Amino acid sequence: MRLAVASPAMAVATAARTNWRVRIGGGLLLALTLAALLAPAIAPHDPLQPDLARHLEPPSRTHLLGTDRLGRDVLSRLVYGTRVSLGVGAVAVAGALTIGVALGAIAGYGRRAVDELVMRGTDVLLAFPGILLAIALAAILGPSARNVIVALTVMGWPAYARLTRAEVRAAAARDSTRAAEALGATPLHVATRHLLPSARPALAVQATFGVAGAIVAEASLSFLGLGTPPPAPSWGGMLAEARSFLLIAPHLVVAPAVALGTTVLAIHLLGDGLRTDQRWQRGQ
Amino acid sequence: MLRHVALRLLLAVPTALGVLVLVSVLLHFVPGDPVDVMLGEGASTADREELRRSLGLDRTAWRQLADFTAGAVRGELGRSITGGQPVATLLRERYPATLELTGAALVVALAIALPLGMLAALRPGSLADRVSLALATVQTALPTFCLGPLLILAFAVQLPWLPVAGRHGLASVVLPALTLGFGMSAVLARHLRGALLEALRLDCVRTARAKGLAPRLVLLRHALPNAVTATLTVLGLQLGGLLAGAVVTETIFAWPGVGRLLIQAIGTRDYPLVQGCVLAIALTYVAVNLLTDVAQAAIDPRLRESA
Repeated sequence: MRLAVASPAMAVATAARTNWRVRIGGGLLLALTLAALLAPAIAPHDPLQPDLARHLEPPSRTHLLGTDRLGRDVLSRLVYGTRVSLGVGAVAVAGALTIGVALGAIAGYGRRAVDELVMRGTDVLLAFPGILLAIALAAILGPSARNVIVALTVMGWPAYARLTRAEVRAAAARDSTRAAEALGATPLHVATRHLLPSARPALAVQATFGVAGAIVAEASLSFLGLGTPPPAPSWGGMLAEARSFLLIAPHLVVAPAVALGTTVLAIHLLGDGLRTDQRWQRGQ
Repeated sequence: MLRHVALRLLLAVPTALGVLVLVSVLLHFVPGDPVDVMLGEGASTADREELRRSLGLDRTAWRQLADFTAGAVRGELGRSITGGQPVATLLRERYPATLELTGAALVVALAIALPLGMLAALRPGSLADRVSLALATVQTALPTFCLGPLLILAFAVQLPWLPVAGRHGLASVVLPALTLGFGMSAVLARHLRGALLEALRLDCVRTARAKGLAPRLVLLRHALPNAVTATLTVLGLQLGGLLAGAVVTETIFAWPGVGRLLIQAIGTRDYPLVQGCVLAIALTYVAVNLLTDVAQAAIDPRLRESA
């Protein structure tokens, strides 16, 4: 059974026409993505250029969001930080989704022994609470954006694997799948044409929320000093630095907190909208 | 009931072993030679060999795994590289602080979630319902490491009522517990609301209403017990988030728990201590899940029979 919609982007566009959540969430996310892509054109200053004579300044006309402890422009660092947040979030979820869907489909449609193996693997990984596993992995591998992506991918795939497995098993029991099997379709054909398409709406919603989770996790790791190493601007790292200057420069905490909050909210709105959207779900 | 508990306990063993295996393997992901990373290039050959031996790196991977597991079962987790103390001793010192913080955070979460969830379920669309929804929105947008500094700014700096950091008496636990517990309260309230709304549709509840029981009593005596099991599942899962969130919260408030120890150990590349902290937190989570399971079975007899 094929989805009624041709591509995820088109499906979101269709959903946006009828659903205000998709419209606002998707719009905000689009704006943030553009800010990330066009950062060099948008940022008013060099995000790495220190100016010690003007450090910890409150917001002013030259520095709209003030300056940090080295006199770097906070707004510019915020804009460049969008690249880290959205980039790491998207790539980590893409990685987790690829591994999770592949293993979940194999577990749901393959032999019993393979199913057991994959599921026990997810059991062990899910036995680590929250981002603890990502903290441990990022700590062992060393702080870098690449290692954060690796850590978040390892942490993230079990959820997608379980979801895919459940959806695949439900789809495998359908008459249309049975008919295809009876007609001699190869397992790969059955999986890609009959099983996975019906898992797509659920996976899309889960992945949307997953991006928000990955962005928060990346910021947590950077906050703990395990993410993108300084001086590269990341929201988590900015928050960590700002803690030392709570008394004299509270704006340093507020700016990245608002940026992170807005991004997470936008993604949640989009995810909520997609989950409740009838047109999107009808594809099943 | 006893059979159910025994079965659950048995099922938790492979998971706990899996966690042990994964934690013991962690050391192998250190880029380059872990001994070099920990001791630096300038260390003497004798020191390096000594550390290599004590970490078990001179043995085969299987042997290491077996030794690590056997040691962990006996409560021996090696020694800290920086201080030389046994890792188990350090963990024992810090563990109560983490339990205190997560316990207090749980109290905060329940104190917000229980009344809010119940009010929201009693009158869908009312002010309480909308507040719980707004809270859920704020909570998703404000992770602990954003909320923590903002709370410090408000209640320790602008209004100097509470201590900024450390663990000295009851007042010092308030801000960390609020930071950690707030994040969980909204999710819990929304789930409780959902479970209650479902329970309010049950036949027993309709009967209780029909015989003229006060709405408050219908909720407390008939709907709530039926909603508790579903809420407990969410609570168990959320406690995992609480334990991991404690790492960040302890770092923000300089709270001397296992989470802060973990971050300090990471900073000094004290890998045996890192392994010990990760193991302690993960095994606590496995135990919490086990307890949630048992508590559910104790409340809901149907779950005992199906197991």
